[in-house]
Amino acid sequence: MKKLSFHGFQLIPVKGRAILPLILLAPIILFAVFAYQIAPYNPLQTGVGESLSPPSSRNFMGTDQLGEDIFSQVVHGSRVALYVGITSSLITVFLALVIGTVAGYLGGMVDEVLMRFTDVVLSIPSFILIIFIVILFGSSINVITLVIGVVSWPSMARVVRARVLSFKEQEFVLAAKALGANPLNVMLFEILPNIWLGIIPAITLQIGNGILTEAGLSFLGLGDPNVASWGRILYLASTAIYLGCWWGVLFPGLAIIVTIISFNLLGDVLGTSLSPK
Amino acid sequence: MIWRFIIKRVALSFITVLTVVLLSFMIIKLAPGDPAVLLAGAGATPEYLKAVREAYGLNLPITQQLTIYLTSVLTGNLGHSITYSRTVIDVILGRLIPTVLLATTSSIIAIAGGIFLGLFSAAKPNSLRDELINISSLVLFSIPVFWLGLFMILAFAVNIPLFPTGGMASTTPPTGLYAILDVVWHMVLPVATLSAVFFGIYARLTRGGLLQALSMNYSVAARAKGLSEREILYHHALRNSLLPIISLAGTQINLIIGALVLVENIFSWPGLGTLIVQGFLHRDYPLTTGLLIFFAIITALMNLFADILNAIVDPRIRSSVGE
Amino acid sequence: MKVSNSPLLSVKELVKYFPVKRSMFSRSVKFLKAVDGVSFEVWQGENIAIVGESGCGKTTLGRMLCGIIPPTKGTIEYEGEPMSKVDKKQFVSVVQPIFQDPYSALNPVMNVRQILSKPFKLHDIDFNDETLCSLLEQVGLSPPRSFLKRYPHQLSGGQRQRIVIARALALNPKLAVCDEPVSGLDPTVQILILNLLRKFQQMYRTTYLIISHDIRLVKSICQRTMVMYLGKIVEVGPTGDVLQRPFHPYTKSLLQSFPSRDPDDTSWVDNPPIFGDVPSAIDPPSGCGFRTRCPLAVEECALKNPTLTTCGPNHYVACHVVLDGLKVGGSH
Repeated sequence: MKKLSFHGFQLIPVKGRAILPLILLAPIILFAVFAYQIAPYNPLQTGVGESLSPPSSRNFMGTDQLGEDIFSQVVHGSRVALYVGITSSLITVFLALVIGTVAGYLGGMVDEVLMRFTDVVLSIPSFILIIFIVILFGSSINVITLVIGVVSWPSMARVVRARVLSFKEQEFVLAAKALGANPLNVMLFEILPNIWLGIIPAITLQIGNGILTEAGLSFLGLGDPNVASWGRILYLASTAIYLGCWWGVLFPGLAIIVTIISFNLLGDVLGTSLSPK
Repeated sequence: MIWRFIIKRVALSFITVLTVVLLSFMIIKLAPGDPAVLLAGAGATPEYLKAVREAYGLNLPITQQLTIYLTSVLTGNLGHSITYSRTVIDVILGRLIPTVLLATTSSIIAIAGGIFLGLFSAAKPNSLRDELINISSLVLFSIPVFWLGLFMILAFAVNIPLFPTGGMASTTPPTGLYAILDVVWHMVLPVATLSAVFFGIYARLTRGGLLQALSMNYSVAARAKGLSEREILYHHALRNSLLPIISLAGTQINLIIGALVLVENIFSWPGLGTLIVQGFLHRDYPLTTGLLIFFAIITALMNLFADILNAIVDPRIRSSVGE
Repeated sequence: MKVSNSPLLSVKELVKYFPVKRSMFSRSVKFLKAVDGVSFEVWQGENIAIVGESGCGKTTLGRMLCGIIPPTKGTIEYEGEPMSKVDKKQFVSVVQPIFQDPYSALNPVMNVRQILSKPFKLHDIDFNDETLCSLLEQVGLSPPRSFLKRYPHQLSGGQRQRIVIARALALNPKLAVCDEPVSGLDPTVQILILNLLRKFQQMYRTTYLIISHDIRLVKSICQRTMVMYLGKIVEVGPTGDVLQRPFHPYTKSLLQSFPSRDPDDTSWVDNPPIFGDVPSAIDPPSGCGFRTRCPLAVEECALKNPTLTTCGPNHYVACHVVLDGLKVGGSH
């Protein structure tokens, strides 16, 4: 089998296992990119169908009790999910890389303080904290995204730190030091390129977590009311569930599950196949 | 040695809780709006607003405000709930038992089931059943708990009305032994939902722990003595990895709390998880602040318990706190 | 004028202690005495070897000389200037390390072009592909252009070591500290790399400080040899003298422990020249560090720390017994 090589990393052939999550993700990504072309209605426009009508040719995923088209909401919801997931995990990655690299590379007191701080943040009940912040700052989608990103860095920072420690004493780092490279240069150009591919599994898992957390908030009715989130569809469906509104549970649920499984699988596959050589 | 570790670890837990308290203070300060109005509620009379300002020292410099806030929290005073007109502590304690009941029952079932699945999986690593358990663990872990809850209601309360759709007891609860059975009947769906999500996690933890134990020296020695793989798995590996698994389970508390809040709300369970959403809907800031601090304490205690358990099992950990 | 009269490198009473944390809770911090009072000089054009068992502090010493780790005590002077006062950028062109492990000495995610341009970029020196190619040609990698885009994992061990040498010598340092420069390579490749080092010395007057336990390498390239044991120099002198007529009992046993060229000669297996293991550098023996394993040890060795004393032309040894013998015999 041909070995793929990417910036010095060898991609061990994954025997198509990476293909499955990508195929599963494809419709979600298509929905997100072409939401306005695909969705037949404005997702938050009421009265585009009968209230609580089951799937029909007009609303083929049915409608919620406000008469909004569920298919349009699922399509637009993928935009929201990917936005929240990717943006929040970018924030997480940035914080984790900065804190993990500085702690691991500088060591000593800096490491001690940063790692204790990480322990502390790690044991804060994050879902409750997010609810608390959203109550005080309002539930706009950007606040939610930012908060999810800001509270999620500790476990990734630990992964980063451990990897930095394993590279710190390598001779190529010493060589760069001997050539007169300052700590910032060493961290940015010698160590970081070696670890960022290694944390991709953690990043994909974090995207999934971000999506789940936002959906959970919206499900509780604490999400951004002006955004067609998958969690919001479920929230509306949950109040109509006694009327047998299965379509409001099934379709957004499928979208969430497929997305989360894909990101988790992707993380799993990448974790076993991305290894620096 | 172990005592010094425990003292250090307790200090760390205390710092964690303190950080959350400081954080809550900071967030309230940073939030838009007058903190007095936030704390007193939108419909408060001017007299009450004044009283709140004085009680929290809101006219004083910020450092003194912080001191007042810290001392009141540390002495167990979390303020007055706007919606319940009782102290926050009272409100929280009144809702504690249902939450504890739900959380412990689900955790015990999830841990027991997870260990069983993990054992089943580790007995034949990389076999078909191992792969199946592995994949289903991942799928279970990927299903949002709130979706699973809705599905349960739809399936077993609406379509096949076996169980109630929510609540903790019937509107006219029976008496005596039947009261207990009534609660158990109400618990089935929420417990099934909560534990299903954590089956997967615990199964994976167990499998990992067992496979590691099987590669350890004592397992090699046991194999050399001629014990069968089955005996080694049950007598040596399981015994040695049981405590680490349980303590790892303790570190999942953060996830459990998130899932608990969602499940309680799906099934209208009268616990702390529904309380916090009510606090949100009524803009009851003292109550939500109190809940945040309360959950921080619970999390810190669970993590503390897990770490101490782990340190007792594994002496290496004692020399590196929190590593 | 001052510069030409000063030795290229002068080390005085160099000490490196590493704090050893035994546990999180013990207050008493112990120290690992990796390098414990080392003084020597290196003159331009005179290659020097540091030999000794692993753990004797030679690698730590080398890293201090390259400015990778700071010394605990003592001074390092280059051409009469203390290292701390030498401008960081200028210092880099004075001394460069050449590492032991060609596999970890190159960043796996950088290609050869990126690796070799690093020294130029860090020092704002103009360069282009031609500069890099001529560097590659000098280390015997041709056609050079074909190497620029390769990553370390696409190179053989010998090729990697050539890149390591090219990077270290890109800025024409006056001193190259080579830590086991050939030990990770095949014997045939070892000879080629050795010849490369010689070639550079002739072309650029680079001086080498070679850290090694390979006596043949030391013999072939170094004029002077220093023997280290537990962070201290126990013997130093012209390579020929030290290797042929060693004074220190440790040097003698070290030399005997290298297998002779005769494959049938198994006497070194049956009669091991040194008994026991190296004592811990955390709690070294009192007095002379070698006394616990020394066949000659007397009471004095446990009481007094021997100092380097002349025992021949440019030849110094630190051993009470040997020095007493020399005095009595009057051979000096």
